[in-house]
Amino acid sequence: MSGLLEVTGLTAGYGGVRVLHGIDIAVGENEIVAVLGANGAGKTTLLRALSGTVRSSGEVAFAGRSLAGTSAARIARGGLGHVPQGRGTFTDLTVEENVRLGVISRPASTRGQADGDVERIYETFPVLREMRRRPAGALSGGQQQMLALSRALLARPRLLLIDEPSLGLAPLTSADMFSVLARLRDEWSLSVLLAEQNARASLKVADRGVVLARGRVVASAPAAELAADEGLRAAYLGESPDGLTEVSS
Amino acid sequence: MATSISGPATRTVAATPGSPRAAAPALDELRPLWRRPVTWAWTALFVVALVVPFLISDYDLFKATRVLTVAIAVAGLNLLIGRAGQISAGHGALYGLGAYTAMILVKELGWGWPLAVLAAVIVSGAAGWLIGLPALRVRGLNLGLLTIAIAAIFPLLLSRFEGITGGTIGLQLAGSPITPPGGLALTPEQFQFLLLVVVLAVVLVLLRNLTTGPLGRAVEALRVNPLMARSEGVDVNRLTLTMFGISSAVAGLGGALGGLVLASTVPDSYSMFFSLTLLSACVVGGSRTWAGSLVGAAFIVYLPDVISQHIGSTTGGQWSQLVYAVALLLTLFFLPAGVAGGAGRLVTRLTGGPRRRSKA
Amino acid sequence: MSELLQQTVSGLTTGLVYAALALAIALVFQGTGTLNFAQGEFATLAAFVSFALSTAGLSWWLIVPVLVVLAFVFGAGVERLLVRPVEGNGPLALLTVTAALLLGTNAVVALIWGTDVRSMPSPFGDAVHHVGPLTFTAQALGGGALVLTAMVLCGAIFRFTPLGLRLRAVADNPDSARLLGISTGLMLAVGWGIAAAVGAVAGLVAAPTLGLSPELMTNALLLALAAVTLGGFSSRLGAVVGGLLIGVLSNLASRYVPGIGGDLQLVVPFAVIFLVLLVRPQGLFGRPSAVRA
Repeated sequence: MSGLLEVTGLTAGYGGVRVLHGIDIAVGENEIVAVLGANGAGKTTLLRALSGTVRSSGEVAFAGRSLAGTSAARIARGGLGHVPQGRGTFTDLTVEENVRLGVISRPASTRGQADGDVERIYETFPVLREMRRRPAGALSGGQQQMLALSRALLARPRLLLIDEPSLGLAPLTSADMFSVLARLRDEWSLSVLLAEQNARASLKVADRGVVLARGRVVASAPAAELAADEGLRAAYLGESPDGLTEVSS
Repeated sequence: MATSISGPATRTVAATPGSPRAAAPALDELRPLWRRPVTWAWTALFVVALVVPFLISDYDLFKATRVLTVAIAVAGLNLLIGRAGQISAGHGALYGLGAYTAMILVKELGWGWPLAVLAAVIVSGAAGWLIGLPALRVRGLNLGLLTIAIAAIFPLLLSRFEGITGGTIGLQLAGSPITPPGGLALTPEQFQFLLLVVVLAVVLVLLRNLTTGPLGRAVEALRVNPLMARSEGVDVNRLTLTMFGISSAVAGLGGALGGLVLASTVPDSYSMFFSLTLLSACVVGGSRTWAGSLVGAAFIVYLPDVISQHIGSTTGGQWSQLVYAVALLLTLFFLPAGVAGGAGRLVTRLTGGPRRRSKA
Repeated sequence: MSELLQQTVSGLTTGLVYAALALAIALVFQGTGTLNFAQGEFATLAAFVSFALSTAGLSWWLIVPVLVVLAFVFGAGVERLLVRPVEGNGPLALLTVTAALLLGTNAVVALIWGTDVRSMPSPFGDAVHHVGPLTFTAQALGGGALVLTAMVLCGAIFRFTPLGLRLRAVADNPDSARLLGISTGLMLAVGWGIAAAVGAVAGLVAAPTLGLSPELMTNALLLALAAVTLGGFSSRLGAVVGGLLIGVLSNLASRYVPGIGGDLQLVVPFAVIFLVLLVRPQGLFGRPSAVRA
């Protein structure tokens, strides 16, 4: 099976500072891959480089096509969604308008299923339906995260990049978010590349994990294997051997 | 140009640069003043300027004097745009305010010209401070907004308050009050030119010292990163307001001397278009180089003459205006440091530039 | 009393022109984040083009749509060719570009059509209508209706169409818009195009009343800037309401405040800008967060 996303030798950075030094990574159809690593390991930059919002060089093939020199907007239209870290919502627009933006951004072939998909979103996140006339800026952090995810889903991407969905969320909401992710993959026939600091939670939903440190891949293995490797987690994920996550932010 | 229209990514990508431009002059500043080529160039220029009046006709001198008065105003604008990072679309009005203040004091109250010029400087500075007060409470485009409004209503106010300003006819004197003191064998034009050379030199030195001293460093921090400046304890708004006040006062100085040399002020001279022309001079010359003020002033004073000679005077003004606009756009696209800034960099490159290992 | 009412109503009809220009300025500000000093000159250019089209024998029913399309293409083209190169060079460079556009457009209009004031016949005729105690010229009624239609259409595009949603998304959060596959560059150009089209209608309606000259919209620009300041740069509705208020305010001031008449009406918008910046910089309808650096 050839992967949906195949990345080889990806480098990227800001200004003169290089952050990624030759990343190799692959995501298969219907697969969830967790990108793990401490703060500053390059997770966010990797996602940005893939969605074309940060300049990069190296080979990126998505659905068999090279993304070299493709603009961010075009990459997104090609079926690669990106839920950025923190506030990705349009705060001046209402919740409903945010949702509609996702719908109008989907490929023409899926227009027919739009109404059903919106209904599915509102069933998954009932609070969004309740708040649909409110400006998105009035939502709580967790609700905004749901909205950003919903909007990206409604654009019907084949691969969704999700950056730190648990950041700033209360532990309970965060657990919700991860369980939802596992469901979404099946319901929306998605592949997911998930960047997370919370290794334990993300490895529970992921098929495979890739560990980044200082802009390089230091480990890549099935999720269960990584979850069992305490030494690795201690070395690169800022976790003490007893399994407690250090609070780094 | 072709590279920057490449795609929608420009917005995020272009947000980061800007700092390398600021780093370049710092190297030169490591050397002692007398060892910098810039110092020598300015000194040579100053010496030449002292000789020029005895070589060219009084008419040419009169034009050159006008360049110098405008250059003073443009230097004030350089301080604001190039250093404080704010824009004024109304410096023509402040220049005009200086001219009218000086003319009224000389003509109606019989003041001596030096005192009248001083008063004009104070009045323009105070006016600038007053305009800046509401506009500079928050950073943004408010100063541009308010100053273009000033530029638009200033000539109307001049025409309306006939009692003081002479209405649309303006104010005229039989001759310029700026004459050589007795015993000095100079024509008025020669004296005026020399006076303006000295005044401009003093203004440029003062502005330069202002921007390289402790205040200047605060201003530079302000321009590069207002948020950082604020966190380092710089009172951003007050500092910007001070800069705009000084900039306005300098524009008033240029206007006062310009008006008195010409011995005439009319509202039409200080229209919104004059204000925008000054803006053009500042940017085209190079808002971050003091030599730019001279280049820009020469550009806007001599261009209408050149164009009138070739096209005729009926549409000369409009062609000049079009050229200012095009020059302004081309400068913004291709030469963001302006003509003087670009030339300076070219010279630096040709002479190998200030060496990094200089012993300063 | 009926005199006051009449003055208020005529203030509203002239205010519609400022409102449309103010709306255009707000649209550009929300997308590109700069004041377009040249918005008035674009409208003047449009008025001259409509004059040229009518001398060429085109009927008014055709001139309006043709003009709107031409203005849209012009506005979008200006953004693409002259504004885009300095996008990202900071607010100073952007504002300077619009100052250059003001100088340049004004010069081009004067070079092509001369500086004399021409009278332009009203497309709505010279009739005067009476409604109760109030009198309206046909130009005021027809022109008012035309500007109003343009503004309502523009509002509807932004409020109800997918294009409008995309435009608002780009104004709100360009980075996220890009991640949804929206081409921000295209949307900015479209924003400038719509702004120029709305402004063109304002110019077209202003010309028969004010007389056609390169200075047609110079004062209107100032009034419109005051309107946007009053209404708030982040609000389209605010810009329109601001325009109407400014129209009424300057009309009443020139009628009832001694000394403020004729040209000196412009003191009103200036005072409004000054006071709003002093008291409520975000304007009546704006949010403080919308004041950009």
